[in-house]
Amino acid sequence: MNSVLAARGLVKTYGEVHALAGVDIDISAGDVLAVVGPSGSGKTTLLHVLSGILRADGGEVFLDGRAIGELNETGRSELRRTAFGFVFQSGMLVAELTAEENAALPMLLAGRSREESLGAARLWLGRLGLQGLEKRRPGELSGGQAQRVAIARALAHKPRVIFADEPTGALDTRTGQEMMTALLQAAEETGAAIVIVTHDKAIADRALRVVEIQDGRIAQKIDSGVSA
Amino acid sequence: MRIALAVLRRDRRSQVATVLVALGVMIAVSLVLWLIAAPNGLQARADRTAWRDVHGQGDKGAISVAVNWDSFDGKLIGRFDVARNEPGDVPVASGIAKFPEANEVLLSPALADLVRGTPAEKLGNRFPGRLVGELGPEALKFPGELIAIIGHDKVENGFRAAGLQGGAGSYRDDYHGMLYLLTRVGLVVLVVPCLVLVASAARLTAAKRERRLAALRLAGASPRQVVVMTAVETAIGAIAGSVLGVLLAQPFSHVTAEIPWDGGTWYPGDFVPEPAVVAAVAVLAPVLVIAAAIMGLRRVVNRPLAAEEKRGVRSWRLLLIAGALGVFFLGIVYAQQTRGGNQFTVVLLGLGAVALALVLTGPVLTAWVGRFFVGRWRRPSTLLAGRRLSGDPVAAFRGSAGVVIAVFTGSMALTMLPGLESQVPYRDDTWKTDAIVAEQVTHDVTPLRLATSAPIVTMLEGKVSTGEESDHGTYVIVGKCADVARVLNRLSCQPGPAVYAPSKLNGDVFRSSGPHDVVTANLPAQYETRPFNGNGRITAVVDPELLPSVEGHVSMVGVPTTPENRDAVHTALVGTLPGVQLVDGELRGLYGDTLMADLERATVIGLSIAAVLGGIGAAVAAAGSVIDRRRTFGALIAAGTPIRVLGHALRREVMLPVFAVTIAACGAGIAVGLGLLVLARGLVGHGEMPLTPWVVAPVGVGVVVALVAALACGPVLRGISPRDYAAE
Repeated sequence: MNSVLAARGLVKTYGEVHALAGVDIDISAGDVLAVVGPSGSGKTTLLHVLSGILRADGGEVFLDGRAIGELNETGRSELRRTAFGFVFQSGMLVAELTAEENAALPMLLAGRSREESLGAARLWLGRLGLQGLEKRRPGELSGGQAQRVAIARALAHKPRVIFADEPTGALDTRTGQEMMTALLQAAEETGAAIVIVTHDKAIADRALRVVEIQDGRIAQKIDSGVSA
Repeated sequence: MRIALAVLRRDRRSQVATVLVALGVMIAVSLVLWLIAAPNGLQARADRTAWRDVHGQGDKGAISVAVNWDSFDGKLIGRFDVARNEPGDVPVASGIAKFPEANEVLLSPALADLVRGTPAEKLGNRFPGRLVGELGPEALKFPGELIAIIGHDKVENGFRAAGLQGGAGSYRDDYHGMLYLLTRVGLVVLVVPCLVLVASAARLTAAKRERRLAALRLAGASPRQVVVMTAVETAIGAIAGSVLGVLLAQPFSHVTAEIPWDGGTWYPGDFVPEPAVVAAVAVLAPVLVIAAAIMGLRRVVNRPLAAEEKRGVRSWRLLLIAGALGVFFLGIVYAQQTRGGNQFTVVLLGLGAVALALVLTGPVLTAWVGRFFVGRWRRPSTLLAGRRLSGDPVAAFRGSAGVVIAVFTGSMALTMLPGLESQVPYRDDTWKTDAIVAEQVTHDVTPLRLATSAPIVTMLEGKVSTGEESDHGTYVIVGKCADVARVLNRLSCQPGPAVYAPSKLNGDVFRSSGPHDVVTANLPAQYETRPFNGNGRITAVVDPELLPSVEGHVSMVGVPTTPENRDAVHTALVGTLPGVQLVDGELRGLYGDTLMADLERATVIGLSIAAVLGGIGAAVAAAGSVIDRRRTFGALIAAGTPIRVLGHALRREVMLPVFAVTIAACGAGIAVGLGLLVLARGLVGHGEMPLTPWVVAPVGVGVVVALVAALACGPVLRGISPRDYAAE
C-alpha cells in the first residue's frame, strides 16, 4: 500500500506526561481513519503532530515519503495550507466573512485569484447542499450548515489529507451523521484521505479504519471496511 | 462576585486585560491630574506676582512705582523703581523682606548672582544702591527669574500704589486672556483621548466577556448578578490603576515643573492639584470605567442571545458633527460678545462636542470604508479587514478613536500656530534691532552723554492735527532725519528740512504727547514731504527746523549700539534715566520669541501626548481584538495561514478607518482652529489667519501612529498558537 501520510515512532511529551509514546500509522489516498480514545489519551496531539501543527519530540511524519519534520514553520504552514484541509469542532469559521468567503479562504491565502477561489468555494458549497446560503455569515447559519461550510473550506483547495478534530462534537446525532456523510462523500470524490479524531462511536464506525489510543500508544487497530 | 474573582484568578487573558485596564486608567488619571493642575500652575505664578500689578490704584498712594523690563545676555530683567511718597509703613508682599528706601536694592537670587559675576558697568550699575536683601520664591514667578526692586528718593513716570502688595492675581489677564483660552483648549482636547484610552481599556476582551456573561445569563444568572460580575472584574484593574495614577502624578508634576514657560521653569508645588480634585478624579475614573464596561454589556444583560448579533451604526450620527460645529461657532460668537468668567464656556463645550462627535461618527465612516473594500478586495487581508470594518464598525473604530482625536488636535494646532505668531504682542519693528530707545523721558540727558560715548539721538514725540477736537492726528516724532535714521527703521534722508511721511500731513498743529508739559507749535505753510513708509507706530518724522519753537524739548532718546557696547549703553540708560521705559530689539524679540517658543513647545508636548495616548489606545484596542479572536486566529494558523497575512489584515483593520476618519478629523480641526483664531484675533485686536499645507500633516502622522500601534500588537498575534483553536 502506498502511504500518502505515514508516521514512524512518534513521541511527544509534555513535561512528565507522554502524550505520544511511539506511534506508527500509515494512511493511503482515500483512506478514512478514525482516532478514538478516552480524554487525555493523546488523540488530538496525534492529529496535531500528523498535520504539522506540533513537532514530534521523536519519530517522523512523512507526506508522500518526505519527512515534514525537516520543514521549518513556514514550510509546515504552507503544507497545511496546500496539502491538508482542516475541519474543527464548531467550524471555527471567521465570523465576519460570508460562507463563500470562508470556504475560499485557504485558496486565497495560497495566492489563488479571487474568481478562482470563490468559484471553487461556491462549487463545494453547492455540492454540500448550501446553495443560496453563500452570502450568509456563520452567525446566520445552523450548526450543521456551519460545519458544511467548514468541510467546503477544507476541500476547496483539493487537499491530500483532511484532518477533522471532533467535527461533530457540537452537533446533535442526526446532524452529526449528515455532516459525516457529506464529508466522506466529498473526500471520496477528491480522493483525499481523512483523519478524524472523535470520541463518538457512531462516527468512528463510519471510518474505514479505527485506531484506539491509550496513554499515547495505539491500543487497538480495527479495519471495518465500511464507508459512506 | 466569587465567579468574577475565580475568572480573574484562572484566566490568563482576563488577567492580561485587568493589567491593561490598570495601565490605561493609571495613564489617564495621572494625565488628567496633570492637565487639571496646569492652570493651577499659571494661577500660582499669578498669585506670587500679584504685587507687581501697580496699575489702576488711583492717584493717591504711599509709594510710586515704575515698572520696566530690561534685558541682559538674552534674559529678561524685571525692574521696579520705587520711591516713598509719604512716611509710614509700606506693606510688602510675602517674599519681599522690606520696602527698599532710597539707595537700597532688593534683587532676586539669580540676578544677585549674575550681578556678582558681571562687570558693574555692564550690569550692576543698572541697580544703584546697597543690596539689602534677596527676594524669596514667594515673590518670584519662577526659579531663576531676574527681578530688581530699586529704591529712589523720587520716581518719575511711576504709578502711585499703596504698597508692593497686590490683591488676588489672575493669569487670565496675561496676553489678553489668550493663554487662559489656550490652556482650556488644551485641557479639553487632551481629556478626550484620555477618556478614549480608558474606554478602550475597559472594553478590552469585551467580546469574550460578553459571550461568557451571555452564557451565564442563559444559565439563569440575573441581570444584577451579571452587572456585579462585570463591575468586580473591571473594578479591580480600574481601582489599582487609579491609585497608581495618583501616585504617579506626584513625580510627574516634578517633571512638568522643568518645562519652561514664559521665560522660566516652575516650582514643583505649582502643579499640585487640590486634594479634593485629586480625590474626585481618583474616584470618578474607576466609576467611569466600570460604567463603560457595564454600558457595553447592556445588550447581553437585556438580551442574552444578542452577543452573537450583528452590530450596525446609523448614518444619522454624521449630523452630530454638524451640530457640534454649530455649537462651537455659536460659542465663538458668544465669546466675542461677552466678557467674564463664562466667556469661553460655550466655545469649550463646543470644542469637546466636536471631539466627541468625531468619536461617535467614526464608526459610520469606518463601516463605509469597510463596505468599499469588501466590494473591491483582491487580497485576503483586505477582505478580512473590510469585513471586520463593515461587520462591527464600532469595535473596529474603537482603537482608532484616540488617533483621530490626536489628528484633530494636530490640525487645529497647526492651523492656529502661524496665526498666533502674527497675533503675539510686542511684535513691533518700529526701531532698529540694534537700537535702544528710552521713551517717556523727562530727565536731563547730559548725564547720559557723559556716561556713554555712544551717539545719542534725542527726539520729541507728538501728534500733528488740524487742531479740531475730532481730529486724533498723526503720530510723529520731531528729530533730525540723519540722527533719527540711525535708530528708526525704513527712514532714508536727503539734505534739507522736510517732513518724512507716507503723504502730506493733514493739519499743521503739532502737540507733544510725552510725559512732560505739553508743547505746541505750528508747521510752516509750505514744507517738503518726502516718502517714509514705516510699518511701526511712528507715521512721520518732522525735522526740528520746521518746528523751531520745540527745539531742546526731549521725550525720547535713542542710542544705536554695537554688540560690544550694548550692555554698557543699556546700563548707562537705566542708570541715568531711572524709571524710563526702554524699548530695544532684543527685548521685543525676547517677549515675542519667548511666547512663540512657549506656544510651540506646549503644542509639541500636547500633540506628543495626544499621539502617544492615541497610539496606546489603538495598540490596546488592536491587542484586545486579537485576544477576542484568539480561537479564530488559532484555527486559521492551524489551517496554514501565515501569521504575516493575519498581521497584514490587522494592520489594515487599524489603518483603514484611521486614514478615512482622520481626513474628516483634519477638516474639523482646521475649521475649529480657524474659529479659535478668529476669537484670539478678537482678544488681541490684530493678527492674520494664514493657512499652510502643514495643516494636513497630522493625517500622515496619524496613519504612522496607527501603523506603529498595529505593529505593536504583533507579539500578541505571534503568541497565538495553532492549537488555540481548541482553547476554552
